[in-house]
Amino acid sequence: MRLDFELLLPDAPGELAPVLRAVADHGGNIQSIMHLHERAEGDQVPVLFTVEMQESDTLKLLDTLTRSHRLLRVNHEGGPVGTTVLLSGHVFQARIDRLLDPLFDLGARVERIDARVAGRDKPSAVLVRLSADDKAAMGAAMDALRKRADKDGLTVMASVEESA
Amino acid sequence: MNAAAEEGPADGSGPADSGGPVRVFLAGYGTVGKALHRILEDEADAIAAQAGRSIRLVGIARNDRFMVDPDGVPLKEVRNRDWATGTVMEALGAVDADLFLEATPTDLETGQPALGHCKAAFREGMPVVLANKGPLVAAYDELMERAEAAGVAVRFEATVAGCIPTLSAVRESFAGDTVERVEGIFNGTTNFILTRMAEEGSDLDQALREAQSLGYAEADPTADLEGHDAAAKVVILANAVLGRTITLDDVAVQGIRDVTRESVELAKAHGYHVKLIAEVDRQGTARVGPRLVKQGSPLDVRGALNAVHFRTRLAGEVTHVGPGAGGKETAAAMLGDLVGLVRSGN
Repeated sequence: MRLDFELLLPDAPGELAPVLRAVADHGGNIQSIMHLHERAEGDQVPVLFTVEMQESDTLKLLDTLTRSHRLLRVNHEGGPVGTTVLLSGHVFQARIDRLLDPLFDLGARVERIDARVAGRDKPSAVLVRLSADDKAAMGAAMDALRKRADKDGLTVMASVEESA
Repeated sequence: MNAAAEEGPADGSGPADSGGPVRVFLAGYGTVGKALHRILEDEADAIAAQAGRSIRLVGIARNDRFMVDPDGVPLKEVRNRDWATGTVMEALGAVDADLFLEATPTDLETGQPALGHCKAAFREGMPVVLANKGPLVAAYDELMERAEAAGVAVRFEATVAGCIPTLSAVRESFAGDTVERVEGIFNGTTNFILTRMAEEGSDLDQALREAQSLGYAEADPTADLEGHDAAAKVVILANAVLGRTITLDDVAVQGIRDVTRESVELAKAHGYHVKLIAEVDRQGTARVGPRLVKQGSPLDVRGALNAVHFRTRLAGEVTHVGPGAGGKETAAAMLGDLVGLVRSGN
């Protein structure tokens, strides 16, 4: 299975090595490592690891890592998933509650909403952070959102990396 | 078809190995054609060393006029010499050539006139290198069947993401592997516009005007802004790489005209950039539309760059980044196909 996790690491040579060793010790295969410099906290930088590994070993790996590092986020297939979607157009005229209600019915949760409104008659932009218990629920919620948005003439921009 | 004709026949498929230079004919003498002519002249020795034979441009055609010379058409003579009046087919009858280069303007609906040019080249037993997407989008199966029947190869690296190794990567680097999915940024014009909107706070019209002034966008930018250019590349990838048979009608297309400055700003504030993403896989996905990509991720490329992300069964995930358009860059992709065919013919 695929496991994504973010750790806060000092931005210095050699800091990755113990993490890589722990992943290897638990039978994991690193797929990608991404330093998220735009979210750096002083000399600490969040690093996103994507690892392919046996599901039975994930908790042991995370337990090992949290003893020495601050774990910011975990996402694994089969567990809770999150995604971000940007709606562009006359979102408020379309009534945002009508857009989101079907998602709640499908088990999705709205974690955050942020909006930019240029003017009364101008298109607005609304960013919605969604979560759900699993990929299937998120997929169904996203399908419902796309259908509703399409009827209302809105543009839906879903995240590529968190596609559902 | 099928990958077989794109690969070329098994018995070696390149131009006739008659010794001496390989004689090539070029249809289309716009930005790409002229750039290719210049490269063939300026880099002649290096190309000959890599191809194993020298390459001689013996004919050029544009807008029902042509110029042929069995000894080669020198770049500096193009303006001085008289152009004969006649079609590409007539031009092909006026000079012996071994290989056909197609770089005329694209018509995604009919594939013409390039489709007719390719068929004429096949009848003459010539392999074809295309920069023109038209025949591949409008009549992929017919084109490949004709090539196979004629026993000649067709190459078209320049039609998808310019000089980024895409089709050749599948043919060579991923040989034996299975490409499950391809996604990415296949249109440099829209990527330039979205980059400027994110970095300068421009609205779409301002960024478009800047793109046009810098030569990144056509006077009529419809095909880019509406996503049709990227959709054409999805069709080519689906047919040539993913074993599917689809047309433009099978691609769900949404362009970037409705992407507002506020959308781009909001995405940026939350760690994303808006990009026009094309996606195609073996399961039935074929779509183009604006999406969010995480800042700093492999697909977060700036300006007029393109990015091609492969998901393969064995190699996993691989991303190629580079210039996706431009005269010299597209000509370089055609040259790669040309040299590859000459090598295989040897």
